[in-house]
Amino acid sequence: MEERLQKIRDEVLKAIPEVKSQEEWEALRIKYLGRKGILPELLKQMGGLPAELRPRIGQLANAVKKEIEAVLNTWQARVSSDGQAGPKTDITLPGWFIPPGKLHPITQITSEVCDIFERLGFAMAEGPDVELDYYNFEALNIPRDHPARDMQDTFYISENVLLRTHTSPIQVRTMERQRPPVRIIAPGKVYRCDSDITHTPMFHQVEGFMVDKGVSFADLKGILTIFIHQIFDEQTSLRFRPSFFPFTEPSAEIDILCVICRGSGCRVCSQTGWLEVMGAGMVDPEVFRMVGYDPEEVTGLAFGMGIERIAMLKYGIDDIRLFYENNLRFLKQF
Amino acid sequence: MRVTLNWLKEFVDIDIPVEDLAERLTMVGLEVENLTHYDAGLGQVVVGHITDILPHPHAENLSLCRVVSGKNTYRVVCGAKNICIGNKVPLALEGAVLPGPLRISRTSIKGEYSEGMLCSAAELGMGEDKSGVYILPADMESGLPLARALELEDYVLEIGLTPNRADCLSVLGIAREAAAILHKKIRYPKIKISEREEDIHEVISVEVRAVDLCPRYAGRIIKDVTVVGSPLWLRKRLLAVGIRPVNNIVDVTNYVLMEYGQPLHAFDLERLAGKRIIVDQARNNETFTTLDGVVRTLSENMLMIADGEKNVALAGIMGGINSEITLETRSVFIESAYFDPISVRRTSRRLNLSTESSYRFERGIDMEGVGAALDRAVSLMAKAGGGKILKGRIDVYSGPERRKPIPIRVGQVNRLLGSDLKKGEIRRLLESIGIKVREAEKDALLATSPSFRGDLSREVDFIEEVARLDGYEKIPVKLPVVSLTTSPRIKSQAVTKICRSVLSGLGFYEVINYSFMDQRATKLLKISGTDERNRHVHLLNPLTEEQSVLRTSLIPNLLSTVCSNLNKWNNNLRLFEVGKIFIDQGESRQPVEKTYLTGMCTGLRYPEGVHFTGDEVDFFDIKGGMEAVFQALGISGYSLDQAVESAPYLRKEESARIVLGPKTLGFVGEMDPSVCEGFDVKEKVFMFELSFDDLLEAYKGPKVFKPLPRYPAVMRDMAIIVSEDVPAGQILRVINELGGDLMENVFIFDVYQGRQIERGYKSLALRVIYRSSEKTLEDEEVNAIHQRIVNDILSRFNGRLREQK
Repeated sequence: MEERLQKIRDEVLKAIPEVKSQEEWEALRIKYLGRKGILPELLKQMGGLPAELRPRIGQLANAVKKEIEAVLNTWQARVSSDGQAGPKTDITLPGWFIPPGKLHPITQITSEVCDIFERLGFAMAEGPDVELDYYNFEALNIPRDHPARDMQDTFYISENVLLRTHTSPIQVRTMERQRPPVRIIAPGKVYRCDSDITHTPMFHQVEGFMVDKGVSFADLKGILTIFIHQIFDEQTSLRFRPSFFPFTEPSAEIDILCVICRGSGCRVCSQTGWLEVMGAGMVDPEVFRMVGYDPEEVTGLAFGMGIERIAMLKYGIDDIRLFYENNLRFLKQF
Repeated sequence: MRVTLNWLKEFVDIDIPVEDLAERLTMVGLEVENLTHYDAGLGQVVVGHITDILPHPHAENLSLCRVVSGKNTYRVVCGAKNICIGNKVPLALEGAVLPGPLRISRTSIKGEYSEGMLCSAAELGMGEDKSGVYILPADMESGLPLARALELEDYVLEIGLTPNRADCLSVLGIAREAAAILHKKIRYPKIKISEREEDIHEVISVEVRAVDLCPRYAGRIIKDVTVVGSPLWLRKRLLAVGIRPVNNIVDVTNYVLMEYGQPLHAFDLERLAGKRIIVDQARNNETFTTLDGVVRTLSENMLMIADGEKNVALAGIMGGINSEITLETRSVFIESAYFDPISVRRTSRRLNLSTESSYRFERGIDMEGVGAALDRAVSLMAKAGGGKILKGRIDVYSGPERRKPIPIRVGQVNRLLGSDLKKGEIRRLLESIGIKVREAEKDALLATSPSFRGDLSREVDFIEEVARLDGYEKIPVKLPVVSLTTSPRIKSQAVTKICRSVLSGLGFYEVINYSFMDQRATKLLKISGTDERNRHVHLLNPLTEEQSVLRTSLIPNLLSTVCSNLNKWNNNLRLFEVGKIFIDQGESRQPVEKTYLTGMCTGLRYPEGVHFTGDEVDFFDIKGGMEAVFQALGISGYSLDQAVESAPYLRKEESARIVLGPKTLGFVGEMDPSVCEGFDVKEKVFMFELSFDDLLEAYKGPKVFKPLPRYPAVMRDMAIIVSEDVPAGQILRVINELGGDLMENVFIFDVYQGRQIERGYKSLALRVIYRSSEKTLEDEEVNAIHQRIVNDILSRFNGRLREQK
């Protein structure tokens, strides 16, 4: 009995490499494993064995059966993947899925920027697009008839109502309803009446500010260094250059080493090696006075940036108007 | 503001390369936006040496010259008669562009080639003389660029000044900063005036009636001048900084304006009636003709300079044509004054007239600099135009105001900057730009700003000076140590994020359109007059008619986006936008801002390709997109109805209003083809628009876990035939109501209308899934419930079962 089982096993192992078609394989399977096949027939004779032998032979018979099944299956699997049998699948054809859409690059960069500051513990805030003169200008230390008003070309709705020219009114609105400490990051649309290859009448800014005891210009440098390194990369060095904003004192422009030429000078950076990307500074005491904060008690840092500018530098886009043409071929790239 | 390097060097020793100077100025806040080499427009013009002159073989009036310049020899055809062998002459070579403009190239004149041109003074833009070639001094080195030989070469620094730095709107102002950076002393111009016997006070009188608007008014007179073109050095310097030379008198006023930042005005003394000057406000509706020839209508708050009879100048902005300097002018009254910044600014805005003068007065000039600039001007005029300066100067002025010293606390400096500066360093930095500093208590200094720094009035202003002069780069980089705070997440942002990710996952692309739209857009959408979307917010100063109001719907701009994409062969579109609309609330009030989520699709359902059929999108694609948003936000229980009066831009037959409780969440459907046509869209477009603010309210925040099923489900199907007017949604709703606790789900898996069903009816196949959370359901139990539901449905909707074959 034992010998016969071994023989059956060897026969199958020998026959398998010779099988050339599905039909031959089927014939082999039926010959050994079919209802009237060699192995089942043999097992029917088990009953005639002495009782003490039965368990051992039974075990062996089972193992042989399993092995035969396994080699048969292996052959089957191999031929189907070889495409020798069964319908042939051209695996180079594309898979199918509904191609996902994309978010507008401005949305993507805005959330990237806000995420960085949220990780630093800043909270999100929003404000209206149509603002009062008071919040957009006066409370930010830009009185009427001040030349600083020339820095921004404003769309007016009426004498006192306008389209916000920056996201800074959110600073004032937030401080009016919240006592220090505050840490806010505020994205939004802003408007200026200007339209050419580098300006669109509507664009996006993100404003950030922080007011607490003992906040210093050194902290501003630290926070913005982290930000620039995260939004661009660690190799992007930055410099703080004195500037002027009516609502910060001292004020700074932040330049980064040109992301295109890495400082050697190119068209994008007008040969200077530097690109202006943000405005920032320490909150002017006058602004604190407007919202009832005591400038002797707290200090604050504030910064703002144009999202389009960041996106253009990150992606190498050379015309700001592309963002608002919404050409699908453009949107698909991000 | 433009300055030249040589001009700066008159006042301060600059011993570093000009590129370094530009960099250092930038880093103290005077951003050098452009640094250009200035060659006085004499590029490719060199000093030539005539070594031979031959007659031109074909033209009597011309000669053939051999001109050596450096190592090269050129052949030049010339028509001038004043040249001799041995002359040094200006030779313009190929590529030179002379004022005119005249581009020089190699050419052939009457059959003889010429490699350049010998130039007259006029051709070089150096004077009026065009009678012959400009003969240069014999000792000039041949081959040198002419600009260098004439010492006209310079560098122009174009500086972008921030509005607070009025003091730097002058060469001297920038020289002061350069001196501070380079640790040098500034040398102010030495002014020499030789005055005549005749006293100015005997010739003219000045009366300032509006003292508030003109706290200082000074003047001088120069007689017997000859008004001619200015000397070359003066003309070239003005040209280098972008000012067109006029005549010696006007040029000097401009020169001093640039040098001192003090606007001046020169009047023809003979044309000042009554030899009087009166500074007063204008009368309403007077007219006045300014130097540019424009007749301007005045109003009473405008400050004017008048003589005994008439207005002669718009104070601080522009003079009048009635007293301007002409070639006949012999005597000149020069005004140097301080006019109130706000008054000048208002007048300038009102008249839409901005000049170099008004620009400076608006930002505030140096009250104490008025006299020095005046003296500088008359001395230069005497130099440039001859003439004699009358004795003394008019100066209507109550004297300098005493500036209050401001305490600067060392602790506060370091607290604000995060630095560690010592008192001595702070003092040195402040003194380097002319701030007077005294010791106060042990931690503080007392600082008094100079008269030209009107922007320094608070401690923090001085701290900024310390920071920028020391260099922002020296301030350490730290991270704040603050107390931890947190604030609630803004729900709208979380929900926006969900909507964006669901829709983009379904193949929708996000677009961002302008918040502006064309006023006519709502009419194109057939929105009726009383609808709030016709309450447009108008811009007072729109850029174009198409952007003259704020949008009251996202649809018009989205349709335009569809159109522009179709025009660019982007035919298969699924787009959405989350954005605000603006509803006017009347004059001087902020509009109501509402956020909408609007989606559109057109073209093929799937991309063309091996797995896909070429089906076009239909109503169910857009409805599906919308339902996916609802599902993601956990919004259920809404219903659809077909009332579309408030969405007249949808095709009635295939559109719906989405209702949730008392609220209309939005609309979904096919755009009315005639509306699309108004936006040049000929394709079928489907859209949904949802009030985001209402979505937000309906949003189910936290989810509640239901235990997973432990017992098997039982399925029962039913096929019923009902009138085609019965909405499937209603049947589902009724089944949901009837199903009770044991019904888990019900859905339609087939809708059939056709051969086997009589006209006007449809067959619906529904599958109901039953499950208990407590036990395995018995067939009998399920059958009983199911039968009850089937019977109820059939009787309610007047239907019958479809016989099974």
